[in-house]
Amino acid sequence: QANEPAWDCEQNGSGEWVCGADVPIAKSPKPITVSESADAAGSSVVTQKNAPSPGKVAKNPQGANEQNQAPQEIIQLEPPRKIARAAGWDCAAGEGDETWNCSLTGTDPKGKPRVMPDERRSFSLLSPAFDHEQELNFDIMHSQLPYDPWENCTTSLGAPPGFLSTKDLRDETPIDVRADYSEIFDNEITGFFGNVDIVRADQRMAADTMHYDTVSQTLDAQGHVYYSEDALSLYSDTMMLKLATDEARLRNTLFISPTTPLRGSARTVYRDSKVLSRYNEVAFTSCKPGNTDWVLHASDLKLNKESGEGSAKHAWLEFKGVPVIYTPYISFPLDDRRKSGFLAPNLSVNNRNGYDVALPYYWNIAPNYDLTFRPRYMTSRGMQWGGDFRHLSEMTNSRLQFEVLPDDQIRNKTRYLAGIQNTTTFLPNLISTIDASYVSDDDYFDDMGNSITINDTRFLRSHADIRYSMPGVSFFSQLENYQTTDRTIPKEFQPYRRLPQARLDLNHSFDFMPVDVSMGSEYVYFQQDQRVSGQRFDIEPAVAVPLEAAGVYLTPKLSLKHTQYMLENQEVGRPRPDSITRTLPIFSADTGFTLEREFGAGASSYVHTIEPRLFYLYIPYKDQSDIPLFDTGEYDYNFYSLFRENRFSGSDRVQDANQVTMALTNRIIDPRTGRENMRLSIGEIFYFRDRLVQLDDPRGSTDIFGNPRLVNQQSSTNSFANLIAEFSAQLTEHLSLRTAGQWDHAQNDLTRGEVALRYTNKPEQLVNLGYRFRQDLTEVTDVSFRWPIYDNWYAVGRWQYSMLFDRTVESFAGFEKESCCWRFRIIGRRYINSINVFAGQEPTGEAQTGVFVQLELKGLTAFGDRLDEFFERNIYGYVRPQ
Amino acid sequence: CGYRLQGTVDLPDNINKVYLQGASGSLRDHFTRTLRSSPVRIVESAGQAELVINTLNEKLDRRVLSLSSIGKANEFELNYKLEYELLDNQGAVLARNQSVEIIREYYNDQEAVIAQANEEKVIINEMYKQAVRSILDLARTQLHKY
Repeated sequence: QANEPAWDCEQNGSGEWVCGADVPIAKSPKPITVSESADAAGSSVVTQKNAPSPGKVAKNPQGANEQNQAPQEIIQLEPPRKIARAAGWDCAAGEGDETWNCSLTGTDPKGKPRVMPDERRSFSLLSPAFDHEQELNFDIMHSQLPYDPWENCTTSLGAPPGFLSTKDLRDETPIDVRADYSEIFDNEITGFFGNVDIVRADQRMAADTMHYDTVSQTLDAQGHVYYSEDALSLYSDTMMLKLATDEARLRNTLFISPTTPLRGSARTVYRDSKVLSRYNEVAFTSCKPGNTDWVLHASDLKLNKESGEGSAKHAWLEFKGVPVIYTPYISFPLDDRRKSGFLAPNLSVNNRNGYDVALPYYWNIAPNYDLTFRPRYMTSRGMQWGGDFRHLSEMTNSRLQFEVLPDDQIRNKTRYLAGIQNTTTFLPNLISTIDASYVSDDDYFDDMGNSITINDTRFLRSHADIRYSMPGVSFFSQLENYQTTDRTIPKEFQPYRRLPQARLDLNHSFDFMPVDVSMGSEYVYFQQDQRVSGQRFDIEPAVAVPLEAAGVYLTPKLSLKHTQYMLENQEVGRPRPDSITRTLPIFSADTGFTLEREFGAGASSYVHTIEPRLFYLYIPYKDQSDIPLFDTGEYDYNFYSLFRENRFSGSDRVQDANQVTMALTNRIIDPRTGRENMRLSIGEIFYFRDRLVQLDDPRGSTDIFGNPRLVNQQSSTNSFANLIAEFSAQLTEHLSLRTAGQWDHAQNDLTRGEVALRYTNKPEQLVNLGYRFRQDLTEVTDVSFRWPIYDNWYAVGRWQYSMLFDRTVESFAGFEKESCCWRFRIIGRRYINSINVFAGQEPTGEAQTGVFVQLELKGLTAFGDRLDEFFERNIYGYVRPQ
Repeated sequence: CGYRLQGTVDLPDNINKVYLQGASGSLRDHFTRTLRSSPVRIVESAGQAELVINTLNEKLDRRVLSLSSIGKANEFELNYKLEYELLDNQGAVLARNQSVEIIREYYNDQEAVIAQANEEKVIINEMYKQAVRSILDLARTQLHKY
């Protein structure tokens, strides 16, 4: 211990002295005595704190040089500006000569350590949860752990990969005891004295003195007791252990649980049995030693590992030195076992609901069912009662959901939501699902929904289905209904109910010849009160001959589509036959080949592929204008739709076609990683006849806002479809580019284009720039980012601006702070949340603003809005930290 | 000019049995369908297989790409992502930390909700198909090294 070297000290940010020992001096100081009772030596003693050397018990400041030690001997120190302001020794470097000028204020602390004022801490109501001495001990315990739990500053589960525990070796490893001397009394009690150190496998215990009674099997350790194993590190003044009964009693204890990681202190720890332990005056945090950004305090804590329950009295949370939450009693689960109790409350403020508080209570009724009760109070609307009931059985998984606002003070009516979900697995390949919900009115989600989740749905789907599948056979049947939750959709344009729909798909491939046969069939009964309804039966047998040779393929396919309609509830003024039959053959041939070549040499060689593809499609024309549109729309036209047999998404329309698609894809592949560095695709359809089958959408070609719908995207008489080009490239490891465009030959103009540039240097640097344009439909610019600013603060934001509507449709900006033991997020958001409909006027979207905050205490809980999920949805590349 | 036809059989000749570990039902279906015309078969256990494809973190997401003037979504992005590694039947890693990401986008006014669901189903099927192709392409380039 400090043999030859001199002390090399400097003052760190918190005003403490950190001394290393690396400069040898001629005249060595006397060894430092580590003793609580050391005298304060004379009036010129240097009050100076000693940095612990790992593994050594060096908790005292070096306030105890012996009297004959002249201060001059340890003067190769940087002179400090000031050390102590409070009562105690105040020392300053002497002028000119290298001596210390020390003066005593108040009573002599006699070498006892105390907390130094932290000059960094700008504001703090509370004194630090752990005093300086405790922090020093945490440092020692920290350094004794076999790995650093705070290395990555993440709350991980379990030891890091690559760490091998020696826990399993405990029974076969001999106990290794070291001590200055030992005594045995009556062959029963063994006493070890002075620097006792006991090691067995991963377990290690050190103390000043230790007694072991072989008769009562008790171990009694006194003075600076350290105990550590792979998953625990302890320090305490005294420790008494009854090995036979696993009872223990510890005083003035510090602990580190490295797997979570957590660290904390307790005045006393009583371990009553293997499963039950009690603590007094506890404080703990997941922050690394030296940092107490958040600390949870409790006057009494009980942990029961058998029932998996913990409870605490007078628990309170401090964050950044400010008390935040207090509860006289709290109980919590210790493991994954579910336990009744209150969940984290939710508080938000917005101009729709005022102050909005929810306090969910979780009731664990039985192992296989539970209830979460959600009372919620909104100052503008009143009290809402909500809940969730879940039930689990061997075959089924169910959930019931309800929300009732008995008297909405704004609307003066009762508003509610009800829902049921159920999945039943009869056999591994026979599964049924029920998912049904109902809300009292169209604005329910806009008004009651959590405002951070975008409400982009216009319908609430309810369905019950059953599916069966085995190789070659799949069956699916459902009942389906949609509730409209958008006031701008008139009744007659609400979706059809499918009561019922049934699908059967069969397919088979022969082993001895290249022939695939398949048959799809479907029956649906479409119902809508305001519009023509009816039953549709559709059957489509097909034969394909997939011919393949190295690098070349050709797949001719012939199918016959037969569809039958039985219509009812005919619309006035739009006469249709009650029964319609349509039978059409569909022939297609898909062929292509892949050429590849390596270019470049050595480490920078790449593979270039050229993949031409031809797709021919022939379908004769049949007038289908009498057939209503039950479930059919037009596919969005893009590179992938060039190779589909129909440009309509349902069975109500079969296009007429005599056309060939020509496409060419170029790719550059890195053969070392297999990754695609560049891809360029160009495609075009050549029509040999005009398209007579059209989608005559009864809703018209524009919606009620005057925005055009995506119908009849292209001219029906052109001989060429829009030319499509798509280009994507991984420009560097972090930068990627995606562009696509469509050229309309008839208009001689670009009708669609998009550019997306994405910079992704995970996890902290993300920038996405985008521009999207569709003639008459959209034109938006979109920027989103997450970028480090300073000291683990990040800026996050998104701005989506519609140039077509001349307005911002979505924007938010804010900050995110990542610290070792907590995360904080705050954003301001402006978004369109509701629609105003006034008689005689065009409906308009109403913009709202809101501020959203989330605080996550790692290893404990999260408060506030789920901003992490929100960022994941809105910033491409953002990954929610686990 | 140096270009040659690529083999259609995407895996080396000595690999005829593939086991998919951790893959979703849909991905498994598309593997079987894609390999139907090649001699490669999907087997039921890692022990019988000559190649094990261990898939991790398979995820299919739908994001809203752009909003209409009233704040409702009308352009969507479908994102299918999975990570995987290639193992031999002894569990030795042949290629680790591979990933596939397929992004597709489409426009829909959402009022024709059943038609939209139909379209989305078609696109998702195409994405699975594309993912299978790209896993096999990569397996081919990686395995030819051995």
